[in-house]
Parts: sequence; structure tokens; C-alpha cells
Amino acid sequence: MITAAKCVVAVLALASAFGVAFSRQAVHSALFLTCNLLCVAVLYLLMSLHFLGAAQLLVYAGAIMVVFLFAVTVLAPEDEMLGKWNDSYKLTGIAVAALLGACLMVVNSRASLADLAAPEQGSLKQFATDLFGKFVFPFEGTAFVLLVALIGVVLLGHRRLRDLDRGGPSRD
Amino acid sequence: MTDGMITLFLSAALFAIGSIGVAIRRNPLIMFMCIELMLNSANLALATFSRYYARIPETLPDSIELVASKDLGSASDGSIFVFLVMTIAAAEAVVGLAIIIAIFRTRKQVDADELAELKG
Amino acid sequence: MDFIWLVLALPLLGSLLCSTHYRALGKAATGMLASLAILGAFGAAAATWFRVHAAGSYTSQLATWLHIPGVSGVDVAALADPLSATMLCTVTGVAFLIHCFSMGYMSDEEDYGRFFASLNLFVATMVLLVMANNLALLLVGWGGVGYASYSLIGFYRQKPSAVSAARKAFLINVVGDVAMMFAIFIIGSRVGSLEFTSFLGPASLDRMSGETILAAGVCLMIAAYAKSAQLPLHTWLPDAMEGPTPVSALIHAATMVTAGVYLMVRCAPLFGHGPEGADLMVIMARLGAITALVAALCAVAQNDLKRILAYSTMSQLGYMFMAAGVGAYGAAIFHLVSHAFFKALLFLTAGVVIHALHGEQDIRKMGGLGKKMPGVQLAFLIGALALAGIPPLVGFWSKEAILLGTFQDGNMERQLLWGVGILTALLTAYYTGRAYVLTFWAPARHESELHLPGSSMTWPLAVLSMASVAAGLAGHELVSEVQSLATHLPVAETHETFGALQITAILAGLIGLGVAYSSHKTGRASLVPDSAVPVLLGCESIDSLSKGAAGSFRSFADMVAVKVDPVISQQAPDLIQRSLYGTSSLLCQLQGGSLRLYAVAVLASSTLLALFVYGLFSLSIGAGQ
Repeated sequence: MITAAKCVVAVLALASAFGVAFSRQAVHSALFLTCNLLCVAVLYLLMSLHFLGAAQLLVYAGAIMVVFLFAVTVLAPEDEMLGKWNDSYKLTGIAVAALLGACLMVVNSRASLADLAAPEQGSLKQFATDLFGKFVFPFEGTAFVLLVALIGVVLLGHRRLRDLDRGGPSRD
Repeated sequence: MTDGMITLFLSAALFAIGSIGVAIRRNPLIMFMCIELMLNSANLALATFSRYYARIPETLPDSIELVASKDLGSASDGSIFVFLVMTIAAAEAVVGLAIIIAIFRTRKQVDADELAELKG
Repeated sequence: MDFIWLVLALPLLGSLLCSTHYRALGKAATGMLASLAILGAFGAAAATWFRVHAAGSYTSQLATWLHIPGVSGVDVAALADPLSATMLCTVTGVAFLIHCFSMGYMSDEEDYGRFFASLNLFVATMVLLVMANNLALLLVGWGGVGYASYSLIGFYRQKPSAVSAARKAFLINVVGDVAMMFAIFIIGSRVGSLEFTSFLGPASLDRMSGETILAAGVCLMIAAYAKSAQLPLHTWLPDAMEGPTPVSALIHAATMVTAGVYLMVRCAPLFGHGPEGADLMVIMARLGAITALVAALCAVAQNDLKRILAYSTMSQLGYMFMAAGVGAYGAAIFHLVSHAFFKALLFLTAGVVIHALHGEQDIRKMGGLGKKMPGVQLAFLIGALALAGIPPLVGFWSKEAILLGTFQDGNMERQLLWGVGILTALLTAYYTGRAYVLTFWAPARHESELHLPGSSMTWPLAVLSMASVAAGLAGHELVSEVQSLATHLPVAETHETFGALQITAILAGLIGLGVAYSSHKTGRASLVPDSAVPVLLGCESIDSLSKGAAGSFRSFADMVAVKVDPVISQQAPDLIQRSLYGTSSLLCQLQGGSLRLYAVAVLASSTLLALFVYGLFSLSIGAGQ
């Protein structure tokens, strides 16, 4: 039952991933990406990784996608022509990516996976204990990185850096 | 094909598709989305391994020693890593988008091929 | 008291003084000094000769020259044995007479000091060559005589032909030097000793493989052939006659060109050892006979007095090599010594004639000199008869020794060689007779006043003539004596058909002289029809062959210069520039700022890295299992 569900969701995820990469309009790409991220979240849930599924929903499908859609609406880029396949970069890129994919497939096929017992009910507690105990320094590190990113984005959001010296954004 | 293999192959496929997208698209927004796709696929693989890992030392030669061969960590370690990666990915996405918007505001166009000032 | 080093030291000292103090000494004193140095050397050589024959061979070591691991005997050491003592006496004796002659002959020259310095240097290097007790020291002398010969052939350095002749002689001599060096390398590496008494000993010869003997023998033969102007390395000798006549007499007739024969005799045990060495001796004998005949034919067609003598020298050297090839080493050395005397006599007489005629060398423009210079005529006659091998003179005995050593009953090849020798003797008699008759008896064909020789030029002629006659009169006793003194090697036995062979040889000489007299007494320039001249000059064709080869190289070079070089010199920079441009534009594209290209590059490199790590893992896992 779970396996079948996984298969269905995985096919959906693949389709939406193609949609991301080959849509003409950025809006469509963003929507396909949302779909893809949701599928991954479902996969996490199906793997009984409940916290990860929730985090995926919140962080990716919630926060990041909002930012993406916002950017798409701000920029409103024109449609991109995908017709020209004689571009050598494109061909090289596809070849290299295919090679990489094949390589990953081969490597992955050698992995010996066994279905371990699903985490117990109290795994979230264990998770929280580890996150704030054993991994508290990485956790605080990510918090710091987020802070830096915040400051960076504020700086970038201004028109020009020198505007900051004048005490605010200029209006032109 | 076990359950784990499905997600593992899916992650490989997503990574490949994402890299194709980065290579062939000229819209930096879509390239960025593809990068997110790749990051996501890496996360998926990590989560799969943390959920379904088998005993690794069987496949390792003698010359490679695990530092803590006794303690392979608890089941939640992988999830914590994935969570941290997600956090960093969020920060990265925000900064990247801010950069793209800044570029757009100065250049009034968004085409990765036109953004060639890096050549110096 | 060891005199042998004086033989080397005196000419060296003389050369040094002549070159540095010539201006202070003046012409007469320079010539006297040089001659006295050689006279002293001759005295020391004679003393050495007597000591060797009284007390046996000895080696005098002055110093160790080089310490080479694994190779011994590279010393500054002299070997005094009958062979080297005989050679030393010959060299210094003839050299002394020629020095005295030169004092008169060269008195008009500006570069008197340079001439005598070079001449003394030549004697010193020749002495070093002869008395060296090992191959390395011999090579020093070998190269030294080559240099001295070069500087003396090119003595008239304002004459382009002399300079090019000098260059040619030097180049061909260098071929021999290089061959000699290879012989040294082979012997040094395989035997471990360069000393003659050591590596020519039976023990070390037995240790040498057949190939080693063959290789070393071939190298030594090439060296000897280049130095002794044997076919096919002979082309430099006729051109070397561009040098002053005393030089031709000393270097290119009496001493230096015989160094090859000396080397062959010195290394005789090597050639006598084993089947390979014997093969080489057969080749040596055949080539010697061919050289003798071909050079004699060439001499018949020449009109230049000195070139006739040059070709006759080649021919006589061919006899000596033939003798060495059949194992008649004593006969070879005997002929070497006697030839040194009568050929020096002939050359000096020719020098007097040329001097008297103000540099005229063409025998067709001479004639009638017999009445004006009777003494000179007599000297030339003695030399010519000796060369032609007419009995009372020394040339007869030495040539007979070679011919008798060659003839062997029931051996077809030996009899054939003897036949060639007789034919050559006939030709020799003819061309010497022709030169003599045209020069002295034929009607005069010149008007200018004769430049009569001074006494310093005539008395060496007298001494040499008397030596030729006296040695000849000493007769057959001398033959075996000199042969046995000259070498320790067994003397060829006399044959039962001795009388008949001897008479054949005498008849050949007389017929040749008779033909020459009867056909040239009226002043007729040549018996040979013009159309046959190119055939007779066959051995000069090697010259044109090498000229042709050089010409083809030159035309190839011209072609390259005209056709290929402009293309290369214009296209190559273009090509370089274009390729650089292409590479740089390619690199520019890589650095073109294209985001997608960067992305692809990152992807590609990470793929490669993944493949590499994966391969490494699977390899090490495979090894682990």
C-alpha cells in the first residue's frame, strides 16, 4: 500500500520536475516547483519522517515558494524560447547532466537498503532532544546564517549601497 | 525494489533534471528553481539513507575505518541534518532571489546569457 | 741515459722558439735553429736505435696521463722497439735533410718563421705518433700530424686553392681520427688496456671476441686509410700538393702518409689473430693492390710534376698495404724506409726544378734542363730509377721484398696480387721515365732565365742520392737484415722461383723506362690519347663523386632556401599566431562570463569527481575482497 503510494507520488514528482525545467513561463515553473516540493513532503510523510514532512511543507512549499512567486511577479520575465537546440552549451549541459544522472543511478543501485523499523512514536521527542542537545551548535549556526542572510537581503533590497549612508532609500 | 530505492532513484532523477534545467535555461529565476530542485533531491536522498540505511561496514574494505564504528548515530541524526540543510536552503534562496532582483533593477532585463560581466 | 724523450722535446722546443722568436732571430738563424733541433732529434733517435739493438726493447714512462677506471695504459710513455726506433730514425733523418733544403727553398718567403715552426711541430707530432706506447698517446700524435699537415698545405693562405686543399685534407684526416677514437673506445672497453704490449699480447687477444677484433680492426683500417691516402679516402693527397714542395716531400711522401702503414704493422698481431683478423688482412691486401694500380694509372695521365709524384706516393703506399695484408710486415717497413728516402729525393729535385722555373709545375712546359742542371738531373735520375725498381738502387730491393712476400706457389689470389704488383711496377717505370724525360731530355719549351739552386738546396739532394745508391749497393744482405731489424715478426721465406720473379720485375721496370724514353724523347707530351685520360683518372672520379654528393646536398639546401624556407618562415609565424589566437579565443570563451557555461563546467567537474571517487571505491573494495 505504502509502496504503491510512493510510486504514484514519485511519478508525480518526476513529472512536476520536468515541468519546472521545461516550462516556458516562470510562473508555471514556480507552480510546478511547488507541486514537486509537496510531493517530496508527501514522500517524507510516507517514510514516517513526520517532522521532516512538516518542515518541508512549511519551509519550502510555504516560505520559499512565496518568495519565488513574489520574485516572478516583480520581474515578470518574458517567455523564453526553448526552440534553439543548436546551442552548444545546451547540448553539453544535457550530456553532462545525463552522465551525472546515470552515474548517480549506478551508484545508488549499489546501495544496500533495508527497511528498518519505523521510528517510534516518541521519535519527535528524541529529535528535539538531539537538536537542542547534541546538535545545538549547528542549530545555532544555522540561526546565525539566517541572520546574516537577513541582513544581506536588506542591504540588497536597497537601490544602492551608498543610499544607506544618506539614511534611506532613494525614490528614483 | 525496496521502498528506499524508489526515493533514492527519484532523487537521482530529480538531480539530473535539475542540472539539465540549470544548463539549458536562460532565465535566472528558472535556473534558480532548478537549483532548488537539486537541493531538494539531495535532501531526499539524505533522508532516505537516514531512514533505510543498512550496515555500511560490510561493503567497506579493511583500509577504511569508521571513526565511531560502534556508534552509528541515532535514527534522528539524518533528520536533523536534513532540517539544517533546509534552513540553509531557505537562507540561500532568499539571498539569491534578492540578488536577482537587484540585478533586474539595474539592468532591466533578465537573461543569464547577457549577464556576462564576470568575465573581467 | 734515456735519449728517446729528446727526440720529442727538441723539435717541440724548436717549434716554440721559431714561432715566438722568429723576428728576433732573423731568417737564417731561424732556419738553422729548426734544422739543428731536428739534427739533435736525429742524434737521439740514432742513439735510441743503437740502444734498442744492443739491449732490446724498453718502455720509458714519463707520467700517467689519465686515470680511467677499468682502462689502464693511458700514459705518457714511449715504446722503444726496433719498429719505432727505425721509424724515428727515418722520420728525423729525412726531416733534417728537408729542413736544410727548405732553408734555401723558402728563403724568399715572408712567413719563414711560421713555416719552420709548423715543420718542427710536424716532426714533433710525428715522433710522438711513432714512439707512443699506447693508442691514446698515438692519437695525440695522429691528430697532431693532421693539424700540422693542414697548416702546411694551407701555408700559402692567400691562395684559395691551397686553403680549400688544406681544409679537404684536414676533413678526411678527421674521418681517420674519429675512426681511431672508436677503435680506442672498443679496445679500451673490451680489453681494459690501451698499451700496445698489453692489448696486442696473445692472452688479451684470445679474450677478445671475433666481433671485437673485427670492429677494432675495421676502425684502425679506416684510420690508416684516411691518413695514408688509400682508396677510397685518397682524394686529399693530390690536392695537398698545393703546399710548398719541401712539405710535400716531408709530409705527403716520406713520413706522415706512412703513418697508416706504421699503424698496421704496429697492430699486426690484432690482424693476425683469428679468422676475422685474417679476413681483414685479405681486404687490406686487395685494397692495397687496387690502390697501387689505380694510382699508377692516374699518375700516367697527369701533367703536373708534383701530382705525378703524389699519385706515385699513393701507389707505393698501396704496395706497402698489400705487403702488410699478406703478412710481409718487414717488407712493408723496408719499403717504407727506402721509399721515404728516394721519394723525398724525387720531391726535392722536383722542388729545385720548379724553383728554377719560377713555379712552373707542368712537365709539358719543361724540358732541356739536363744540360743546365746536371747535378739535379743525376739526383732525379737516381730517384726515378729507384722508384722504377732498377737493380742497383734501393727501391729495387724493397719492392722486390714486397713482391716476393706476395707471391706464393699454388695460391691463385697471391699470384694475382703479384701480377697486379708487376703491372704497377711497369706503369711506375713508365710514368717516372716520362716525367724524367720530359723534364730533362726533351727539347726546352720555356724561355725565362733559370733560377739556379743554392748549395743549401743541393747538398741534401746529394746525401739522399748517395743514401739511395749506397743502400742499393749493399744489396740483398740489407734486405733481410732491415726486415728482421724492423720488426720481430718472421720474415717471409724466399721462394725457389726467386730468379724468375726477380727477372720479371726488372724486365717490367726496363720496359716501362724504355717505352717512356722512346715515346717522349722528342717532347711528345703524352702517349695516352686524350679520350683515354678520363678512364685513367678513374680514381679521381671519387673526388667528383664526393663533389656530386656535396653538390646534391648544396642544391637541396638551395632548394630549401628558395622554396621551403620562405614558406616556413612566412607560414610558421602565421601558424603560431593563428594557433595562439585560436587557443586564446577558446580560453576566452571559457572565461566568457556565461553563467550557463560555468554551471555546465561545475556539473562536469563534479561528475568527473564522482566517477573518480566511485571508481576508487569500487577498486579498493575489489582489492579488499
